[in-house]
Amino acid sequence: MFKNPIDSLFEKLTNRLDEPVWLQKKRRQAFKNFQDLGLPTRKSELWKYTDVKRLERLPDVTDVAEGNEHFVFTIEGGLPKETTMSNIIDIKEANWQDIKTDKERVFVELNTAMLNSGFELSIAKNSQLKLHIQYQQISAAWENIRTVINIGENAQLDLSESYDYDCRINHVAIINAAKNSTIKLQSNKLLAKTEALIHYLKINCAKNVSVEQSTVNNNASLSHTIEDVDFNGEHCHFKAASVNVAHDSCHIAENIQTNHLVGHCKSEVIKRSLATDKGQVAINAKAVVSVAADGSDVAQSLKNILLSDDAKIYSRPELEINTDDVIAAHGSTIGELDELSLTYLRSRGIPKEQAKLMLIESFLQDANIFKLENILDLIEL
Amino acid sequence: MSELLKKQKNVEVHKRVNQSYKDGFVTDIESDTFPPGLNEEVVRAISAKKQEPQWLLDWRLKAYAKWLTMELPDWAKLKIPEIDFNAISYFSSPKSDENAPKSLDEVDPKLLETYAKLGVPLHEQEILAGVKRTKVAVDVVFDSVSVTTTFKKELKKVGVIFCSFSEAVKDHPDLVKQYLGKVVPIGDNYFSALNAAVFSDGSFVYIPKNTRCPMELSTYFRINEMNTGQFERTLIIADDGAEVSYLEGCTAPMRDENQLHAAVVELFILDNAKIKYSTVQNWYPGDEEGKGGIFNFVTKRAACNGVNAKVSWTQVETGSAITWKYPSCILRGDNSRGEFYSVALTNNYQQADTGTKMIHLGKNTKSTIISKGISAGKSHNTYRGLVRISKKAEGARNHTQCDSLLIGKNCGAHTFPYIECSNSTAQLEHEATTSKISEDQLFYCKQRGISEEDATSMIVDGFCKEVFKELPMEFAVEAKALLDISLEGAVG
Amino acid sequence: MNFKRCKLKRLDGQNPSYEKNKIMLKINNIHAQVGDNKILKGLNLQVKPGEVHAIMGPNGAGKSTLGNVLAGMEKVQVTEGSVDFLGKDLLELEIEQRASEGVFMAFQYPVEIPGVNNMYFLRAALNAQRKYRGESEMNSSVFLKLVREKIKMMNMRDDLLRRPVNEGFSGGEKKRNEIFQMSILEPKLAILDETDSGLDIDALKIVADGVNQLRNADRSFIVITHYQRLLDYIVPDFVHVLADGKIVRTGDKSLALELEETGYGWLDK
Repeated sequence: MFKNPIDSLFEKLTNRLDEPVWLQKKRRQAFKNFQDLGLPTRKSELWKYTDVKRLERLPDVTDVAEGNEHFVFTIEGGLPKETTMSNIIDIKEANWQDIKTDKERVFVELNTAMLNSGFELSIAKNSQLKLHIQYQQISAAWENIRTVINIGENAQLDLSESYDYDCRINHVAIINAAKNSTIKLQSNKLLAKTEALIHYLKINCAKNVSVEQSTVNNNASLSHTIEDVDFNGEHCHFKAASVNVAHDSCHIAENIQTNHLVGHCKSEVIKRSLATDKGQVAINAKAVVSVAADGSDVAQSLKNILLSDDAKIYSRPELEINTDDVIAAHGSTIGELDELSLTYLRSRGIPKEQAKLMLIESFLQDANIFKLENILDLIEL
Repeated sequence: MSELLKKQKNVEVHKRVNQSYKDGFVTDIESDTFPPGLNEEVVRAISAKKQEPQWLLDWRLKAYAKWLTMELPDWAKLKIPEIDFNAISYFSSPKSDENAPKSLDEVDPKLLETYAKLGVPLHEQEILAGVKRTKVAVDVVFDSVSVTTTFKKELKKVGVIFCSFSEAVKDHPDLVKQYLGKVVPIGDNYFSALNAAVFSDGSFVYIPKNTRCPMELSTYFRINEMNTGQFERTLIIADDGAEVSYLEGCTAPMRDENQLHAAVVELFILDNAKIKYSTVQNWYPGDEEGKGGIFNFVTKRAACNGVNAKVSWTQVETGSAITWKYPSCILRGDNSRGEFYSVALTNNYQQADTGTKMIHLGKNTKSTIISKGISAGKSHNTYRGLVRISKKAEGARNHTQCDSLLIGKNCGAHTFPYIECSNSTAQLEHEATTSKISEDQLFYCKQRGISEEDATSMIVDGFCKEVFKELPMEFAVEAKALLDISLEGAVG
Repeated sequence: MNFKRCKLKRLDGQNPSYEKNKIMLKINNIHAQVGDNKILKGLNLQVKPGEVHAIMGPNGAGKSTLGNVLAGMEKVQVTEGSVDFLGKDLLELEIEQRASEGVFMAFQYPVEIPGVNNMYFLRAALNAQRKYRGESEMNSSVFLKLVREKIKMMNMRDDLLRRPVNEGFSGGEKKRNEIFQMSILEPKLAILDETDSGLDIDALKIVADGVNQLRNADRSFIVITHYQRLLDYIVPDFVHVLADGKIVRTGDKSLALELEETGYGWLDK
């Protein structure tokens, strides 16, 4: 993993960038933390089914990409008034948000240490923004990018994001949603079978925030996501759905934890996953309801289809409930395509392969919550 | 139904005398107890005391060496205070055992009195003449030594061996050697390694081919001495076509300090054989402030090695300060079946982390998991389960239902299922719900004239129904009563 | 025992025809709210033994709240007024004490209680009430006979008895189950909360039949309903119109027919 002499690389990186001392300090501390914590192992709950050795097939994670052209923004109708966007390196010390890390979230430390690009976007209150971001791979080395999006009170963000097909990105994203704001987030992670994406997403919700999130994961040698969602204010509505399809030897791991820190919030997680060939999908959805978070409503639905005997599915719907006034339910199934439905379709004259595809599509459509018409066309099924 | 109402009346009586843990009393009999501490000498001494053959001593020493290299597991969602393994005595036997009682008449009368208090049907005559219709053969482990096994003769007629583990080592060494440690290897986990090193006694059952055990077999475990650990080992083998139902009950006296219980149970089920293993666990849970109580770290595992083998674990867990227990099934034989039915109730400061592992290896293997967790007071109740379908387990099926019921605002109910599937023809379903007793349900019952306490007990009982119906009749009644007692003070 | 004394005391001060005209339930100036929402605003009602009172009114008038006040639902707060039931202050009693005193509520939405067998539930309820009244418990064979007899009356399938309380029951079965429970528990005052809602005409007839068979000179009914349809089958002695937390009109059965003609629109004028 550390084929390069790290210290010299690190020196090179921090010397290259003309940045304030506090950030350099943060980087050093983060790097030390990264070394102390070490790479995740199978003993880490969120990496239990993910083999970090997969990264060895790629360039060293501590290789640093040169240049700064990581993002292509497409903004519909331009930036609203008083909405600002700045380079992450120019962030004020006071605005820097530390993320609580542990053995599971160790790549966040690496991201801080090796950070080479990113932005901070602050959306003015009461405004609306429709934005598309393409995360670009500009060199053969790893990109450590950090994005911070602050959404003002009553503001609405409609964000769709996609990653380059050839992607070696360690992405840390923070979304801070002020009260009464609304977020619609579509993430497309359609990746090459040889590449990797390590993604950490933190969403902080104030009172009465509504989030709808839809993700498509297709392939990658390793695509690993950890998403932490905090409800800091009451009456939040959170819904996250993802479609996960792994072929060949691809590995997709999705971990989402919703923290009901206060009461009367609703979180709903829907995952539809399919593994074929030697593909693997590992899903972990966890909801933590704190003491006195009364009126919490938790739903998890994790459904999976295995299409080959070499493929693997790991499914973990988890609940940690610490108060009694809660509605919590989860369900998970693993199975093959429904034989009866298949027979039914074929009896109507539809060829077997087509009938299978139809059933797969209908299975995955549950998680296509924005009902995007072309989304399944993009996926290798 | 009338039985149940009667039981409820009994419960009321219990409440009146404020006897929240009815089995908490200490029997004052002379006992032969090792001084606290654990080292190789202690392991040798236990083995010597039991006049064990060299192979068993070697096995123990190997386990002890392994244990020294291991660390206490920390992955369970439990807060375990540090355990000083050198403050525990690893062997304690009632003194009268020194001269090995030949019959019940020679047993210390106080011991018998203890069992009477526990409601253990020790006297054969009593059972034969008594109200109870089913016959139950009982093996009793009092602290560390198996005291007596009833009905031995009658069982012998059909070839069933039911004896203490020590006797089995003496009388059936080949069987013991063949199966001991084969499904729970010595290094399996921290507590199983400890048990392998220092286990003092336990039960042994062998059901020969095509034999249906004519009665239910039963063991009562009880920890009596202060600062003793109890490390019993149970080994049950159901040969081809054999069938047995085995019951296990547990109690311990009230003590301020925590006591350790680390048992190992191994079941082997061969072609077309069936084992039904039922547990009502009522170890002392500690007092209302969370002081004292048993630490219950148990490894239970069944190997369905034969085709069409079937194992069923049913447990009602109401006791112990900490419960750490995952009765598991290795479904190796084609068409074999594993079942796990569990009710775990925690109150006050109790913690339970319990569930099962279903490892599907053979074709068309099926497993069912029904888990009901009830948390009250300041307790935490966790279901942790693993269902693994291996690549070769064509046509495997699993159905899991795990429900949690919360009573009060200060308790926790957690669900951690691990589902791993490597075969495309397998079908797995997992469902879970978390709820509380709704205000509407209570209002409805009260409007019909039923008190809140009775309504709660009724609703909890209904919640557990699917599991209770798997218990043998007598146990089912006892289990209901136990739940009621354990829920005391949780309402209102 | 207490209650007899109370009755005697009242007798002293009343005219000799008291027995005939005695009041079973006297609701006096009741104000009640749920949270901050004031629902009943000074409601008065008197019910004598054997009478059937229909409470009608538009949605949100407080009809169901009235039933909940009488049954003792905790989330309904009574801020003013009193309720006297056979000489006792009903509001002072616990929910189950009210039930045992003879107040029965047939719920609009009967709850499901998973795993608790209907028969077992009912017997527990009956014996709890008998115990409260100082009577002995009913043994299982007598109980079984009683249940068999009553279930026929309600035209209910036997297997509903063995099923968990209301679980998996259809809407109609739930309502019939409520009336069946009433027939077993034999209350003095029965409150039927929108018992007709969600019932087709056949189910409605069966429920009404059940109720009519239970009518007698000592038992009173408060029938809460939105439509007059039910009152074709359960003929009331009085019809009250409840609007904005008060009874605004009282009449006989013809009032219900009139309401069907005119609706509740006139209330706004």
